[in-house]
Amino acid sequence: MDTAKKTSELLKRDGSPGFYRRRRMEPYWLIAPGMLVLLLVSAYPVLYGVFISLTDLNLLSGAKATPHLVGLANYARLLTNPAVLGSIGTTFVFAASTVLCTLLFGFAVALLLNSSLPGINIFRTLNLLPIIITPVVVGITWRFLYNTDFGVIPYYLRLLGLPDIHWLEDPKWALIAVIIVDVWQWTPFATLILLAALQSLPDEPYEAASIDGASAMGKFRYLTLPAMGPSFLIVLLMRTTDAFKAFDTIFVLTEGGPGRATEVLNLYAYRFGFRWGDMGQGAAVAVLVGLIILVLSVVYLRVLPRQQGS
Amino acid sequence: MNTTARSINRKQFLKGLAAVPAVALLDACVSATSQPVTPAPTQAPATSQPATPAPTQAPAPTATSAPAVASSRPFEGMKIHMALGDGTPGVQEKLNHLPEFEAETGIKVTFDWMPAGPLYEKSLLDFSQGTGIYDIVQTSSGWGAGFTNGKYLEPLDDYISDPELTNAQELDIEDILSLNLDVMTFGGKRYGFPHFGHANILIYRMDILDQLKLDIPKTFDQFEQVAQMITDAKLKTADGEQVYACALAGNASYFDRLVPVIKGMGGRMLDENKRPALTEKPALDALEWYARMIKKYSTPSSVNGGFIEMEQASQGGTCALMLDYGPFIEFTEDKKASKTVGLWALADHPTDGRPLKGCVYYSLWAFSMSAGSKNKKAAWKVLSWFSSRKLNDQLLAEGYLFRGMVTRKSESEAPGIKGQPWTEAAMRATQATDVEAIPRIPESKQLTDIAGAHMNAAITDLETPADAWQKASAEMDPILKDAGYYQ
Repeated sequence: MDTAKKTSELLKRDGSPGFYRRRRMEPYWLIAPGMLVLLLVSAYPVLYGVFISLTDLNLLSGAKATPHLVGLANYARLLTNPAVLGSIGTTFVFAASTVLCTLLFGFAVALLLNSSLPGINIFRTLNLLPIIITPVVVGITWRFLYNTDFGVIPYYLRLLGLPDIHWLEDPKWALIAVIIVDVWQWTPFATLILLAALQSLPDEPYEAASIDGASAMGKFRYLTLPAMGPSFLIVLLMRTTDAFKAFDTIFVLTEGGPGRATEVLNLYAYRFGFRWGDMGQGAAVAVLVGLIILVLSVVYLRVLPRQQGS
Repeated sequence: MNTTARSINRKQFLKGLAAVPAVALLDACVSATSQPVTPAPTQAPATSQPATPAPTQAPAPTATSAPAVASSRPFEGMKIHMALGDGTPGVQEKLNHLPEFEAETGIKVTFDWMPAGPLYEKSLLDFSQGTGIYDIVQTSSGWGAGFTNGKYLEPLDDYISDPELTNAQELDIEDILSLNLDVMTFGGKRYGFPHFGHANILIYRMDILDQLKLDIPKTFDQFEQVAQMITDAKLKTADGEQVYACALAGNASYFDRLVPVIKGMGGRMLDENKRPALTEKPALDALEWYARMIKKYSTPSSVNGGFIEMEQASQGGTCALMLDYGPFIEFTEDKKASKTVGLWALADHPTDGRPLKGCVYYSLWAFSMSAGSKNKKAAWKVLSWFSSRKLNDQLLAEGYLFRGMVTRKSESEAPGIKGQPWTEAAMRATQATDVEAIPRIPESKQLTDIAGAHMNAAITDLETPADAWQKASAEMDPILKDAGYYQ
């Protein structure tokens, strides 16, 4: 049945303006249940969190157990708290380092695994192991691996004649130690996405380039990299979001120490809310982290595709 | 064929979609209307109570059918849920007697084990949200001020004085060392029963001090001299590992280990008006001393380490001195994990030469009842059994020795405890405590976290000790002001 015939049949059935309005509304009705669930499980907690961030709710204070609106006072207190300000800087250093390293290592591993060597599937499966392990277990395991007294890493470094590094005790190394763990755990995620993208690239452009005498590096530079752009963007977006949300591994590894060398913003959301009972400030930290992620996501989505196009 | 399929997609799908909530609503209405019918007076109450015991057990008695049984087992079928701290010595040993208690009372006790951090957080969330999941929670005395301020704990005085609910002889409150009751008393009301207390103490390797002919250090200066001599001796373990003089807790979460050093040098955390007092000279000297002990004489992991690192070092024999709590000796004496069983002893925490009295911080693991418990009388029954002298005596009779701290007077006289080298030191430490060494105010957790972060920053050379305490005081100040302690 061709389109004209279908349209004429539909018009015969109901040609009133209300019919077209109803048809326009149909998709909205169809997605309504899904949107309702999304609003309940996602939007409501976010909005409630924003509301709490504007109140003085404190679980350990009888007087403040019922929230009272205090405007932006919680944000003002956060942004004048030197410890919180310091943690914003640490969060950015942590996020930028882990995202960049994950992307680079993930792509390198994806290129290695994008071959048809016998047994490559075993390596592709093994590659996923770090993602499967829960972050707390990762944290505890690495805490033992790094331990200066009985850890495996310092032991082998000493065997190699390298100087003792106090991974979790030296403020200069602690953040690097935490970044290494995060990169170790999440590089396979980047690999997974980038490997899938590599395997979906069409052969024809490569064949054409070979006929034209393009070198391997040339094909990589002018064919592979541009074609991988959308996948890089996905990894970048998802890893940035994850990196700013990082909490559990860092908490188990260092609890933000030594001093405040590895204190990321989320540690403050946890401390204010769950340790100190100050839900107002805890929610304000969470909203702040959410805003940072939102701004960065918008930048990625708007700026990067434009640059890619140019 | 295609047309038919499309019409189903549009209209019937929408109709079906509308039918789903309608059916759900109908179902909910039917359930709601049918519920009151279930517990009809003629039916056994068990049908309306999901918490009914297993079919093999006797059915729950009703007031009309079996009044005699009901009065002897008034809590039959009730469920009490406890939140317990992982690895707390003595808890599992008490729970081993639970079947006898359950058989006697008909109360079913269930529990969740969790580490101390999540225990606090889960309890706080349960209390504040009024979910009433936990009837009884293991609480630290350090959390007591916040929990009672939030009105989350049930005062126990009325239950204690109710002869119908409490067997005073079995509970035997008079036998509990008064300090252990005092630390969980807020506003004149008791909010918890002690499981065991922690008083700061010196833990030392007897064999190493004997081998090097060293006396037990009594002052901070002597402690440093002994540490220096152990370091100079360059001792090795049987496995060839280096033996360090100390293992100490430098992690930010362990500010309470520094408190007896501050107190032992004449310092304090807050002054009498609750203003930060860490910038005073004694507190500064204390931080300088503690940081020096860690950097110069302790296992490398002490810098950012805590309990796990100290446990590993003591059990592996790579340290000779520790400043921690008395019950730590439970872990050095763990035959399954420790290579140094029988080599450790306890002595008084050093001071700068002043008497120990008032220099020791004391905290307590206690058991409290949630104010949101739906079965408070049954919860009290469990709590009073769990904290009773009768149960404690049973454990002692079975040979369970709780080393490092004494909670009841009767314990200190028990065979296997009386005359032990650690008993005397533990009793002295308990008598020397200042329960307000860390002020018992709702903000104490926040204050100790701040002080701990700067303590660790000084140990790791991120800040000088003077800077560390100045910054800590600056961060504490608005919190204390905001709480209304001063303007």
